[in-house]
Amino acid sequence: MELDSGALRRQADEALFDFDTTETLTAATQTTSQARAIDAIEFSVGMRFGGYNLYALGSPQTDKHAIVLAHLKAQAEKQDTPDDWCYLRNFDDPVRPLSVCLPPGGGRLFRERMFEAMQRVRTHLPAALSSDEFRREFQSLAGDLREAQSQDFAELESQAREMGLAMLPTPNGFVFAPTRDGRVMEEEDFLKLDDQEREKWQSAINTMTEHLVERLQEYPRVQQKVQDAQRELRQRTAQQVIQQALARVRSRYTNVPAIISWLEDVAGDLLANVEKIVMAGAAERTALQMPVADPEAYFDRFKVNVIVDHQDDEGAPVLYESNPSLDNLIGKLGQRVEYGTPVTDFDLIRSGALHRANGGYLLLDAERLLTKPFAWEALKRALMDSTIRIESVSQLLSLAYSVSMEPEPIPLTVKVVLLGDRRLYHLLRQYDSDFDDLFKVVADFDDEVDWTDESARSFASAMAGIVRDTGIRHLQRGAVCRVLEHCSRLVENQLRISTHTADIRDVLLEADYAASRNGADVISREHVSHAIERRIYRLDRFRELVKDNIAKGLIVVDTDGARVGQVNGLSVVSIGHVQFGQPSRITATARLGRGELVDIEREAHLGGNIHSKAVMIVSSFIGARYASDKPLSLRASLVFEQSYGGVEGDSASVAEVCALLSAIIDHPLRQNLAITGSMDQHGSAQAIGGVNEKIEGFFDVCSAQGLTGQQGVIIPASNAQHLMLREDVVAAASEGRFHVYTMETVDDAIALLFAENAGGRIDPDEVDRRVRERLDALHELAVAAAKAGLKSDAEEAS
Amino acid sequence: MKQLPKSVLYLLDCGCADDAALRLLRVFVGGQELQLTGLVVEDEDLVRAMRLPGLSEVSIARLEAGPLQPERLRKDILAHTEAVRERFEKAARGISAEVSFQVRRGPVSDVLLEAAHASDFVVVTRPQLITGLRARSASTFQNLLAQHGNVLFVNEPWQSGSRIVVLCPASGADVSPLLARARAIATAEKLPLLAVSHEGDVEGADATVVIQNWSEAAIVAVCEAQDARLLVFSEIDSLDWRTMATALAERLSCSLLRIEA
Repeated sequence: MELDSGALRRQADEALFDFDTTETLTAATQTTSQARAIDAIEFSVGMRFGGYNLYALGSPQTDKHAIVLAHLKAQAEKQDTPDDWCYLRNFDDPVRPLSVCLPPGGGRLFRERMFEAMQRVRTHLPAALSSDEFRREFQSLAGDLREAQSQDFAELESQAREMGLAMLPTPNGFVFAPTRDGRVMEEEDFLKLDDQEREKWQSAINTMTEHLVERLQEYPRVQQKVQDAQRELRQRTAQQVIQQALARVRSRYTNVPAIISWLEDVAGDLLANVEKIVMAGAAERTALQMPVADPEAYFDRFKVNVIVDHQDDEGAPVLYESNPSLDNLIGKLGQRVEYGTPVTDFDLIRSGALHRANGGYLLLDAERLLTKPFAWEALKRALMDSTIRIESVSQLLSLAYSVSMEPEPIPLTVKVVLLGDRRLYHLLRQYDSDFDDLFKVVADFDDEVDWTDESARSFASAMAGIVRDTGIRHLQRGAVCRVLEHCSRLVENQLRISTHTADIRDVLLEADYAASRNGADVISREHVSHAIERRIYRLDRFRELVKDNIAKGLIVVDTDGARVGQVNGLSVVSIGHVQFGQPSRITATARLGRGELVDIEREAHLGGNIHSKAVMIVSSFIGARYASDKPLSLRASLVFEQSYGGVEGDSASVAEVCALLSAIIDHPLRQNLAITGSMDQHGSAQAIGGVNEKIEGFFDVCSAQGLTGQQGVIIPASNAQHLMLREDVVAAASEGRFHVYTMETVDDAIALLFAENAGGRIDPDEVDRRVRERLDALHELAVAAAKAGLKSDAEEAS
Repeated sequence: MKQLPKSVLYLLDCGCADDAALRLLRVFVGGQELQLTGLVVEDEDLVRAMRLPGLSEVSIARLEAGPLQPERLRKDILAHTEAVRERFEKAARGISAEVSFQVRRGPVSDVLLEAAHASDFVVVTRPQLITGLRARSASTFQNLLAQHGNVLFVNEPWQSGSRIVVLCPASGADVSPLLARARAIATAEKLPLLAVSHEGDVEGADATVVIQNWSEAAIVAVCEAQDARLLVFSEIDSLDWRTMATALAERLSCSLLRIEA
């Protein structure tokens, strides 16, 4: 049956739309077409129990990311903003930093307050310890001792003088020596003294020595006392300053016990390190002071490391992490190098996406997640434990490592959305036993939807959304219709349209470019058509080459006349993004044999399995239809002429049957027709893919060789709904210069394809009769040959 | 002090050379050529004592007495002198001066006074501390401060204190050389200059403290209250400066610079 030109392409109805351009439309994502997926998203969002995370399933070309994001954001706006999170130094165990949560914005405030408090300590403490008041009190404690010592020594010197002795200093201490006339006695004078006088001197020296030793032995105790008093004074002064500096912070967090407890630790640490603080505050250090590695660094321990800051946020967070590595997901322990050694500390802890999305929603690309080492395992663990533990790879592998910390885990309440395709979804379900428990909800995004009035209007709103997001020109009504038709062509179905927003966006951007070249303010239907044509043109070099080879006769395709055992089949060539139809000569030969149908493509290892299956179906069909009551004494062969790259698929089945029958009865087939269609064993035609490309491929060859008005294509009737042919093909058909026929069975094809005799067109029954006669004749020849002892080719070969 | 000093004696008998004192000396003499002599006195009385039998030495470090061992003591004195010399020469490298080092023997006071009178300027540090005790009574040096015209008496710790204090008993031209030197020191030490006067504000000082009468107690009170690092002064005719200078050295913890009027 020949199809009317109106059936070759569905035209979008402009009357459906009540706008002139998309400017007056409300921009939207393409949601109405994804009702099932949206229902799943809403269900996942609404479920507050663990494991109801979402796997958004569908092609990357669908706009599932934007749709999910829009729904999550709408929901998140209604939710409370989650708490801020900070890490603090753990003074009892520095390798286990403490986590603290504060209301939104509280983290930054706490950090600022602590910074101010430490600034006060940094300046006030050295000032207090060098103040006049402190210095006087401090020195007076030592001054008392010094005065006492001076007095002691003056007394001792006086006593010694009264006893006629000199008190002489040595590098180590003192010596008492007898004097005469104010000078120490000469040796010879001393030796002249009698024993009594010498004993008297000796006794005086011993007495003074004992006095001095007694006094000296008292000094360490007194000195210790002075030092204790000085230390106590120093501590007391420091404590006052520290408590004053921290009082303001403490008063703000009386309802946060963790911070109050931490501030006690801070005060304790400051008090234990007064010397460092004084050195940090000193403008300059003298050479006598011990060198200290950057005293300023001491204050780093009192920093507040705000890893999650929601001060500027409203509602729950919705986060998409485009690089879901382990570090980016669960955070990391940063490092710095000190004296050539990598070290880490609480203030080097960096948040991950889970931290920032905590209390809200986290979107991740499933494939990227799975390709990042340890990231998937870390995510699963976080979701299962409902906590975020920051661990390095070495910790996950239990490797000994010089730099390590175990920050206190943070409670996790997050809804994770994995964006992935079907293949990954099924692989995860099959190979990961935790997957079903953690991702209980699937949002299945359709690649295509029914082309209805409602979906068409939704589609127009989606295009308005693309215009808004990309800033391109608005579309006229006709342009929207043209894009709609393009989307129908993408899915090769007059009743469906593609939901691959990424493709649509590309077409619109390119149409906008075309409009800009024309100086147009809006995008018209012609701009869209032009953009689509130019896109094909840019990718079309190979098709042009094939067309050229056909035109030059290098690839033989007849579009006129009739040939025995030869039919124009249609195939689709796919090279990268390019997909086009190409006519191929399918030829058949037949001679005496024992029922063999040789698929030359298969024998040459160029045929795929489906093609081989199709040839077997053809063989079975011919055997059953024409030799059901006797052996099939035929050896036939089939081949795709000038095909060097392999043949796959079953779409040439009907063509192969026709070529075989033509060869058997030696009757020519029309070369101005091409045919495509698969079939079952009973001869019923079945739908095939790529119908539009195939028809257009033959049309292009015919156009190149000259349209005669007789040329056309035969397709299965069930493929009629898939027709979205180019406008030039439709135009040719409407003018009777090209024809598209449908077939229900092989007989429909036979009726069209077999060329007319002198007596006119032969019908399928006539073909059947002649086939049977020919097969009978071959059978008789086979029987005669058997009697004569002749062997078939196959038997010869074996 | 009308002229800048050309010969400076640094008395090292009881302490090491002080970097800060030499730094201050450099400020004081500017770029002028200078003879700097370090002096250590070997106490003749101690030499005599080492020859006497039956004497004991009390060790401050060990807090006990033991027989005086002349040979060991001699070695200790030599080692101490050598250490002082090294430190002095190292510290003196920082100033442009012809540096020499002398060891003289004799009665300490006599030798010191004789050497001091032969010099324009004397620098003396307080007797050093050994485990918290002064190894020598400071009276000799305090006397020197009282008797010599130009003396820098370095108290410890030099770094403490936050002001340079200058005593200005008179105003105008009489104190301007003193004030100029005090200002130079304050600038070098990056400290404010505080004048003490009984006549009102002193021009050239950053601030002035007025006291009613010049007494030892009043000066000590001002220096302590103002956290003085260095007290700069000249002789005041109306006072017994010998006694007062000795008392100031005894009571104040800041350093003292006496400049001849």
